[in-house]
Amino acid sequence: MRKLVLLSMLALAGCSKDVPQEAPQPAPLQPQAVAPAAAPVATNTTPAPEVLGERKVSGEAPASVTEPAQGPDRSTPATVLAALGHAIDAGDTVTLARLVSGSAFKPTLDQNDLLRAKLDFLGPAKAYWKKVLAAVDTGRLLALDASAATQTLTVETGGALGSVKINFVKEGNAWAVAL
Amino acid sequence: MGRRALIALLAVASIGFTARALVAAMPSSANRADSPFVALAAGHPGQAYSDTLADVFAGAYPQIVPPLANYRILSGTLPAGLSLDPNTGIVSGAPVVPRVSTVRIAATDANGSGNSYIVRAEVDVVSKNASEVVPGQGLAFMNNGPYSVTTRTVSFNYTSSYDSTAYSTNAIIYTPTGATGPLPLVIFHRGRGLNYDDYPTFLTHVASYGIVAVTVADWISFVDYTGNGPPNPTYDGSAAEEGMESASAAQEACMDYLLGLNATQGDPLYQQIDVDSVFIGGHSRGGGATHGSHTRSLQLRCKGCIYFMAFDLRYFNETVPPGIAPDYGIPTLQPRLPSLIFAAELDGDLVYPYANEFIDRATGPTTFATVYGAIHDYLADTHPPEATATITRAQEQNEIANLVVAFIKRWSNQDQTLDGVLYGNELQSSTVYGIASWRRSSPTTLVDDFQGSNPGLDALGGTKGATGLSYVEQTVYPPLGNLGSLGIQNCICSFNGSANCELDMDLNGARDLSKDRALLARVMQNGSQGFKLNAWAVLTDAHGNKASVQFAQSAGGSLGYLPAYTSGGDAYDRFLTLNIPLINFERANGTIDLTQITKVAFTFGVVPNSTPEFVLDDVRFE
Repeated sequence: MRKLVLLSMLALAGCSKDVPQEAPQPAPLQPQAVAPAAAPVATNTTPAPEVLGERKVSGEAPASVTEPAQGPDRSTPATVLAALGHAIDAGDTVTLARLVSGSAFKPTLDQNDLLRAKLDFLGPAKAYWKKVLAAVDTGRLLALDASAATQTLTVETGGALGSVKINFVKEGNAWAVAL
Repeated sequence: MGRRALIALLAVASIGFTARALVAAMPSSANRADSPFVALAAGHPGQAYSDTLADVFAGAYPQIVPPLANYRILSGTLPAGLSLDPNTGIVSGAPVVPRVSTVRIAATDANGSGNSYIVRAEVDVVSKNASEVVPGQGLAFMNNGPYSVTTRTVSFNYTSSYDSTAYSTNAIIYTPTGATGPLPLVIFHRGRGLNYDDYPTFLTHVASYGIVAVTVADWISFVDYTGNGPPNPTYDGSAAEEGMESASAAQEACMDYLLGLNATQGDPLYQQIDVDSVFIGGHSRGGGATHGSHTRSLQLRCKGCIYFMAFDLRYFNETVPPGIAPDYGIPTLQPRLPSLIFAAELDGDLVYPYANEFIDRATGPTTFATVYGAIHDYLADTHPPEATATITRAQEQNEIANLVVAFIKRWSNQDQTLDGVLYGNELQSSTVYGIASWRRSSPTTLVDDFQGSNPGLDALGGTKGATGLSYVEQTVYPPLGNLGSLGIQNCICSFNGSANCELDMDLNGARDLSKDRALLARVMQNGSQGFKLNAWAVLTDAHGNKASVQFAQSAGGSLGYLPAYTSGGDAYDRFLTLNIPLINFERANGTIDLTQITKVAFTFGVVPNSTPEFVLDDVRFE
């Protein structure tokens, strides 16, 4: 309750029954007497090229993806994380898409799935995953119950993050990282 | 109304405090500015303007039961051409000349209580040719300023407004010697694992420009290594969001302590601080604290917030209303306060994307600066680097201090000359910073923010289409934690590699853009080599005329709009503001009729399909 009272007090502190006295105010600033800032002049006058082809509202439908016959080992959370690390290092978006919940269990992958995998695990996101995977406690990982439907692994990363949680979900006998 | 607001209201109703009694019961905050600050929408001379104050009053004073009435200006004047409707609180009209106007506005509760409430507001009128901006100031504060700086360590006790617990803590005050007050004040909070005395070079740099800078120890919210802890284990460990809320309360307490010194005869700070120009900032988890303080800024009455490689509290489920008790109430949208946000490009600690989504859902004047080559811990003097930087520690501190000083000077002095740095195109091709700015402007014509449910329609109701490329509207950020709940959608263009290609947006009729200054958008290229493509913005008018401006080229070399592509240099894979003055379209094709523009397109030369995606957001004219 004390916290609530303090919040209330904070909220009301600017409230007064009386209109406050007008405090002296500095004179309003006048427009600066400076030379106008010239708008940047286009340094390249090459016109845009002509674009031919069919305009498609909403863009093109994503193309389907051909996958290798042998997918990653998703039998346990530990094998999923191992495959994830390898796929990140290799920049393998097909495998990454098969390891993350949004696309892992789809019958077929398409280019949007690979784009999502790229955005979630590669580029600027790669540093995050490298840091987290490097901090995984193998003992904790191996102790996760592969017979359950979901599992969560807490990873002590230190620093500002302190710790992060990696969630796993299972469909059939296959596990995936849940984002 | 948020839960925090509702709880406050219920508390008031049940306890029956009077306003007079409340002020007397809280002497520390009595030294704050007399009212909250808000930046109203910017305007342009000769263009219709409208903004409303009702939401500002509601946010600042949760106990208000709408409607308010008798809106009136207590002091200052609105820009010529604008007026305040006393019944609705709407500021409208058409401003005449560029200028900054600060006003104190009151409104009265119309429900019978007769209480009056006040806000401080600023209205900026910006000319089409940005004549009020002084160019060449992008790096003006890179070196230490004119004042020598003295330090003083103080100790004080406070009761946390977060957990109602009594604590003791320290703070170091960096004071510019010889600077005559009143001076701006910035309250800084350290990061987790860093000490409050780890930042002397950076804070001295800031103070040397006539700014009082203070760093608070706050040993309770998360761990440091001064030996004064230990921190609350829950705050530091299993519930980091609670620690950051606790640290926000420490920022508040430090601010009140400093403002108390400002009101204490005999203290060296007596009447030295400008209570209307108080800023709150923090590093890392201290930046998460700043997020909490930004949310409470209307109550704290600060002038602006500065985030240094900060934690976004929206990451936590627990902070999003209704959340999990205790109530945190961090909204998706922030109060309309000026803010400056730093991300370190090579941050190896807090890492992408935690510090990168602050620019999304910004409502006040916001400058998001990615410091190229920077890392998380170089803001401090001695903390070991957590990753490999490509700039030195001194460079990083100078580059961050440069923009901090510009920001504080801009908002404490109402100095429009710095608007080109913070909100204009001064740094758009910089290789020091990547700047993405958001400054809500009343006359903005939003073409698309890509938040709609139909990717075939833009925000104006026109069709959106692609020729030779694919696009999707989804977030470019990994959906870590709860950040996915923000619902951010960007326009991600993928290239098919066979021919010239284009993304176009129909404006749903001819639009008169002749009074607007520029075509603006946030852009990034999701790759490791920068903007490696030939790209143009193309306007089409109702007569079929086209005018195009090239803004990126794969051969390298900057065209003045974006940093140059360099094969081994910085990545430039964070959002930047693309700012193309409309006069440059007229220069490209003198027949283009800006009074009847029907379409805007982004055209790309042949782009190999291995080229990283090009990402767009917030395409607008203003």
